[in-house]
Amino acid sequence: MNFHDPASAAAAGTEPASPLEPARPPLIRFENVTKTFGSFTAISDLNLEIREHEFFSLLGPSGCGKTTMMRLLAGFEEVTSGRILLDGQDLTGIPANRRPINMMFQSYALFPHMSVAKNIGFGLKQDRWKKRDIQDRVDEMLALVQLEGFADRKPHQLSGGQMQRVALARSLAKKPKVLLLDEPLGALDKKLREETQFQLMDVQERLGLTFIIVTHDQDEAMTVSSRIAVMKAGKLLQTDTPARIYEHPASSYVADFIGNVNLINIELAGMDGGLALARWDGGTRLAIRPQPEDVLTPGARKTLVLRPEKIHVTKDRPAEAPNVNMVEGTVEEISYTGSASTFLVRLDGGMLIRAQEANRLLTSRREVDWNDRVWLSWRAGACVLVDE
Amino acid sequence: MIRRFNMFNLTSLTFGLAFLYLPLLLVVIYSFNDSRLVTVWGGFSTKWYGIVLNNDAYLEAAWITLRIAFVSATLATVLGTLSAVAMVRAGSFPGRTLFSGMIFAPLVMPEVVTGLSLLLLFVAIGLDRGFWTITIAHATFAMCYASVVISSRLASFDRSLEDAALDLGCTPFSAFRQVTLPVIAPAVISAWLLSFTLSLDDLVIATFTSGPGSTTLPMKLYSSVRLGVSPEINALSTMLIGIVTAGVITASLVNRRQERRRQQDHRAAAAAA
Repeated sequence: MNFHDPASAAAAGTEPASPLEPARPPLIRFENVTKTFGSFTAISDLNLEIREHEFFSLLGPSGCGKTTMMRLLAGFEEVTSGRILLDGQDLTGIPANRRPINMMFQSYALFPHMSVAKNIGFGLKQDRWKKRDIQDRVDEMLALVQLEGFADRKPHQLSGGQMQRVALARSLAKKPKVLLLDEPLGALDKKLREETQFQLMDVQERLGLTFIIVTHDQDEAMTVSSRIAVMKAGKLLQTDTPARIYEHPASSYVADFIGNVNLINIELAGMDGGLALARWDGGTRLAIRPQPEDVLTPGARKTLVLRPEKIHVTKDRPAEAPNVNMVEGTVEEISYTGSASTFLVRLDGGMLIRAQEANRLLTSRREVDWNDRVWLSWRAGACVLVDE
Repeated sequence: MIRRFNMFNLTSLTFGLAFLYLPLLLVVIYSFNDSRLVTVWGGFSTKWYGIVLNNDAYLEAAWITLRIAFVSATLATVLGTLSAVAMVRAGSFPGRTLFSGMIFAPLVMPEVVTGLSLLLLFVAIGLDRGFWTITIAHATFAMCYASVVISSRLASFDRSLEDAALDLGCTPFSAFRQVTLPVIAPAVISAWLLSFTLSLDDLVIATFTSGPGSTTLPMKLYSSVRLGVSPEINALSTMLIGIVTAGVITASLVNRRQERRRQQDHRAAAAAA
């Protein structure tokens, strides 16, 4: 099971994660970084490389250490052990005000007593830029975030979205090597958030900067980033592209954290023509197309990761094929979300499976209804195995 | 909060205000009394003000009092700001609880005790009593009030503002000067005004710590009253009341404006959320 493909190289962690991301030297390196606060370990022996021009997301539940990572990078906290390198230079002992890293704060942290222009020019003034140069850069930044004409406003005269853009302009004004964004869109409503996500991606691409974003919102991380690091309790669980995180999670925790998922405990039975065969509690036979890195020992217990949208819901029994899995059950619940409908199907063995179908037809013409007997089917290549 | 202005509310409000302000009002009214007799109304006149303003002893006492109030309020505000920053910011350091307890102790300490202990200290270290001993004494107790006022503002201060300033290239000190101080400035100003007023009307501590040639106005007033209340004392008191009231009102106006602005910011933030 060891033919070479780009994905397995990415899993090894040295080569590009996808053809879209050409190889670049790492800009930031966390080397065995540990951070403790008293007896609490926020970051535990963590290694991570972030490349130049990446839009990198740190994703995890609150308290997982992602904000601490950011504060370590910004220089607000010092590592307890290990070190952080930027462009090969050890950042240990360099205070926040002398790091070429800027941060956009969750609360925006705009200085309330200064105008928008003064806020944006603040960092330049600290570096003793000439008045005229500051003025020019501030104008450039205002144009970048489309806030021309707002230079003389005070922060409290701005809407939330405008404050967010001023904060972005201020953190970009010094042209930092790295921009840190701490939950940058957390305070915006859904529609504005989506707009702003694209604006952020656009700015990042145009300026060619490295963005590191901290978020607990998986959709946001998936949308904006080129790579995501999923964190839990001070450790990195998986660092990969959004697609690989979603479709090839390294553990059931990652699978469960990102999106909806069915996690099914199975027992491996053997191999059959490139497909792994497995038994699932009722004895149902399953076919799974294994991944190159999978270690498949017959009798091993694994967890099957099956995304709802990969499952077909039909009233008629689908055609039998070696690479198609099917089970029968009763529709217990249907939740309609506009673009798609999610079906909760109770299998005869008692298990609840979540399946999702795009609403290609109007709901009035939907075939499947509550309490209908349905067949759930999915292809062997639509699911992956993780350790139990 | 008075929701309906009924008889009961009206009565209690009237009695409350009368209890607080009637004595002061009497002083003010009788300061405009033409008669030499303090308790007999003899027509309106401002002549006592003229007499007070031509009395060199009073003027000198007033001048000393103002200088002491100014210097001690400034000292108290600087020290109060520093201790407030230490209390709110430094997290836990050895002796923090002791320090915070000691900051607040003088607020509840009887003035006589404070005055006496300071007197003993000044005698012990051989400091000549006069202008500076009163100033130091006033700064000592006013600093506690200043510290309380400023630390309550600092507690609600968004730390990320300072982080942002550091992030943009400030040293910790310049972040404090350029961001923290301007934002908490209203609280600092009201702390100064409070300290100024406290020093202005203090009698007990000043009595303990004064020396020859440093008689403050409240001391002068008190010693004059012991020789009998004269109408010019009423005039003098009225002027003091005026200054103190102006100070207190300004302090609360500054505070209220700050509060309003903060609420505005909160509304903006809420609108953003």
